[in-house]
Amino acid sequence: MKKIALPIIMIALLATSCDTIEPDANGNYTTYAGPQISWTDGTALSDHSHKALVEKYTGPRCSNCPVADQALELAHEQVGDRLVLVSITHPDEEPLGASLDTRTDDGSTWARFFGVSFRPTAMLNRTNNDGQWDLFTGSPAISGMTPAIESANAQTPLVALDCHATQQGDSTDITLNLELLDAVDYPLNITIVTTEDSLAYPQLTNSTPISDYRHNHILRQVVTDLWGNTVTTSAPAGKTYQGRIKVVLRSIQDLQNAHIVAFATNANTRQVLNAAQCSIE
Amino acid sequence: MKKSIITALFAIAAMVSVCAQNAKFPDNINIKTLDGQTVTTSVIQNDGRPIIISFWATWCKPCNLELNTMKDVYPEWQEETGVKIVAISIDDARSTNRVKPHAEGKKWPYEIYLDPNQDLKRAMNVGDIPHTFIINGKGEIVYQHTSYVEGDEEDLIEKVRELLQD
Amino acid sequence: MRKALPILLILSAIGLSASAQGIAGGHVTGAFQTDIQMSHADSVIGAQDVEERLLINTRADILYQNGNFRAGLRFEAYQNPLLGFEPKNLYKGQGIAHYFMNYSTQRFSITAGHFYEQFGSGMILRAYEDRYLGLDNALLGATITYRPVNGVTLKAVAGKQRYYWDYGAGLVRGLDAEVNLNSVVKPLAESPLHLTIGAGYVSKYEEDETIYQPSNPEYKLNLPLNVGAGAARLDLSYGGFSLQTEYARKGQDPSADNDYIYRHGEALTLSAGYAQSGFSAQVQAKRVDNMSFRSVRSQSGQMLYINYIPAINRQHAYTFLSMYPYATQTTGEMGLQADIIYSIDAGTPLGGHYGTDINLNCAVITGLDTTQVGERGTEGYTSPFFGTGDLYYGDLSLEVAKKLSPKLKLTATVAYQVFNPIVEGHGGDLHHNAIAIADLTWKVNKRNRLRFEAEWLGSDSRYTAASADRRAGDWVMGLVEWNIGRHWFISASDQYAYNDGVGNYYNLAAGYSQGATRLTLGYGKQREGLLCIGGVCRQVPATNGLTFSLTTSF
Repeated sequence: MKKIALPIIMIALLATSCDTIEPDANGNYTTYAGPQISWTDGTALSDHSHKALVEKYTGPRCSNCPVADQALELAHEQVGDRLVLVSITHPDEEPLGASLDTRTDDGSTWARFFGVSFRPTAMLNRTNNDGQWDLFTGSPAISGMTPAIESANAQTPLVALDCHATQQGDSTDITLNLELLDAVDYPLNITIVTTEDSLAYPQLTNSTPISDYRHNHILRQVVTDLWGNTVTTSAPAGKTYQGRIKVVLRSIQDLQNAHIVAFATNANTRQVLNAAQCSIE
Repeated sequence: MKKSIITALFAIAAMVSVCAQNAKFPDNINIKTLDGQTVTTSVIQNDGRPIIISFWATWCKPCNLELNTMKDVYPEWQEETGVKIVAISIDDARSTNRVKPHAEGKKWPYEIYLDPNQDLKRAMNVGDIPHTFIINGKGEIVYQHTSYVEGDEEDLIEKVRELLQD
Repeated sequence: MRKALPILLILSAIGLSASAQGIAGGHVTGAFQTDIQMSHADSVIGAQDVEERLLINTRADILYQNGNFRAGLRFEAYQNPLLGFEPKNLYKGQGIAHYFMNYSTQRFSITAGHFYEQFGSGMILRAYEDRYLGLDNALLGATITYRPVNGVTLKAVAGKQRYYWDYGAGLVRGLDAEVNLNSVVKPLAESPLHLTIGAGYVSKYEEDETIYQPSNPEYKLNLPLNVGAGAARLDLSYGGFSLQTEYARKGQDPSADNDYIYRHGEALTLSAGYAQSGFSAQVQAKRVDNMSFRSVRSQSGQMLYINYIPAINRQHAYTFLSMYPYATQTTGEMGLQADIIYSIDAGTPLGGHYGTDINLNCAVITGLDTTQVGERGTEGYTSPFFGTGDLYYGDLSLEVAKKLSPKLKLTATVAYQVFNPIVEGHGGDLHHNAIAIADLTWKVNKRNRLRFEAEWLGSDSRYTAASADRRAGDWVMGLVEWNIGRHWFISASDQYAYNDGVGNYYNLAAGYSQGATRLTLGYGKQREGLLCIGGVCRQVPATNGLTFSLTTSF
């Protein structure tokens, strides 16, 4: 019997020489291997204002979404460019017929991570209350976001951020300027995404469906890794950075209607510290 | 490079010519019985009498013809010479399971072994089948023949008779 | 290629043993084979022009044995390789392709160099060679086989696989244990129940590479560098009943064969039968799911397979029966085969004066029932264990062999085949073929034997320029083979596609055989097609011309 035990042990040992890869939330067995932002020293920024990032989860079959869209456009007028909007098509929102499918894997990962199921739902700076993500669920709640937006903008941000983007042939050159307004002792991440305005595809509304509804601020691509590139984990107040990244943008129908949106997050809490938006010149 | 191959081949040829005895039937190759047990070729014994080793496969028509033809004369051969016929199947995993039913169905009275990894086939330099060998009482390979046409088995029994006269 | 070293090693080994025991202690045996082809273009059958005029494949095996020591080498030359050995630029060349040293006792065997090995039925490891397929995935490394007691066999292997004149980048290592319970378990020693169990594990290591996910081009696949596969098997027999089964499971193995998905692989083969003198019946079932296991993940084609999945349909010998051969789909298939052999005794009404042999065989192979869940870089698909998909292949054949008189023997076969061209990678409808074959041998006198073979294939497929499948259509074939004396043979055959088919393939051959030497010379046209051995296939192009072949063993 001993002589049989030995080979069984050997086979068991050898059985451990096998790599098991775990999938991410979307069932993908992948790691980010895309372009990274290269950071160098930068210059101080003139504009230290806080810009709120509002992410709205929407979709073509969400009949209350046009109302929420209008509410946020109103908020935009009130708050001006201190509101950065990103409209994410929820993974459960199948396109109507054979129309444009604006869902993205990354946007879907965010939707599931933050526990967004109802559409429309919006988040302001991805804030978190005692382990629960703050979600503005339904168009009435979204319509009432303006006070919260203004209150967020009234506070001094921890970082100041701005962005520039130029198109060189096929690729887009994005430059970010970052100034730490307070000391940083957590992983500070920057995420860059692209959004596009004026995308026409059918949309259900509370009355008749609109076949060529113009969708604005639609998330098209997350340029960096899903949760951003880390700039630093420890730095003093006043430190400035300049980040550059060159990418070939996918999915954009019309560059004139596209925007680059960059936002800074605390990688531990995932809360958004400041945001910036720029057009591609 | 070519020179070393040529010298090697010459050396080998020289050794072959000096070789006084016949090559021996290898007795340390692993083969399988029809019951699935792994044994070595040392189990192929015939008490010092000659053994006929035939390599075959279920899909090989001339092999089946050879073994079917020998089936009819085997009892006479055994009575006369005590020769034993051992059939080694080189069927691979696709048809290994068919070997036993095939042999039973055709009523073959031979000792049958399986060589699925083809170790014995390589050790005896078998290329195409059928390839038949005669092993004398001392375990030496004294005769080999490839292909089969009806009547070839008479050469086999002739050779076996010659061996017994020695 | 570092060829000088192994030759020196073998020569010194031979020299050492020769000096220690005298040359009489050791022996050199070997085999030699050469095939020469002279083919020229023929547009009707699609034979291409051969600019070298003469294509030669040669091999020489040399084996030195001295007591428990064995050493060997094999010289191969493809100057240039015969048509069908593709890609030509990888096959061509010459050199020592195989060398090894082995020491074996009754209990213990160790080999260093190239070796072949199989665990169980080969579903997790089979390193083998088949010269007609041009396939040789020998492992270069070391292997140990140890039999501590009768009935227990342990094997360990490690090495790299041969890839034409080089080696695959992946490292393969494996362990196998097999126990014959009748030898090991005392109470079972005399039992009529014979039971053997076995288990094996093989793992491969390959360096990382960058493969992107098409829908997320910034994301590269997180590739497992070590991929493992394990199998367990059982072989049971009780009187005339027998049962063999093997289950294999492979871990995450994203590779070019399965388009880099992370689904596990599994395969199950089951074979049950009953055999007694004059009658045998057997049923085999198989499921294969994502079991293509290679030592290099980006490899496609026939090379660098670590494992071997046996085909479940019968290996047919007659030409028209194997015109549409089935190649094992290692990525997924379900199969079933039933086979009955019955020998009707001589003297009975059905059996006739001399007896009749009947063989009935039926096989059905389908794809898997799969549901796509994702693309490259995800699980890929799910598939219920007992689900079946599209029909890939089906055949039913009945073979009756009857001796009509002391001089005449007739073997008649009828068969029906359904073939799905998707197994060869083409689209198109299913082919339905009906086949009838008559094979008559006539022993004219002691020195002359004649064999006549007539085959017919009726198919519902038709040749179209679009499909470019020259097998399509209805065919007839006639063959005459004349064996003169013990040494000579002459044969003539013709395959003709009547009814809108393409081609008239005639062939003349003659040969001489003496002892272990055989020479054949052939002239004629050879249809393009697939040469399949054991479910592994090689595409053979049309040839038109002369072929010469010489084989010998010494």
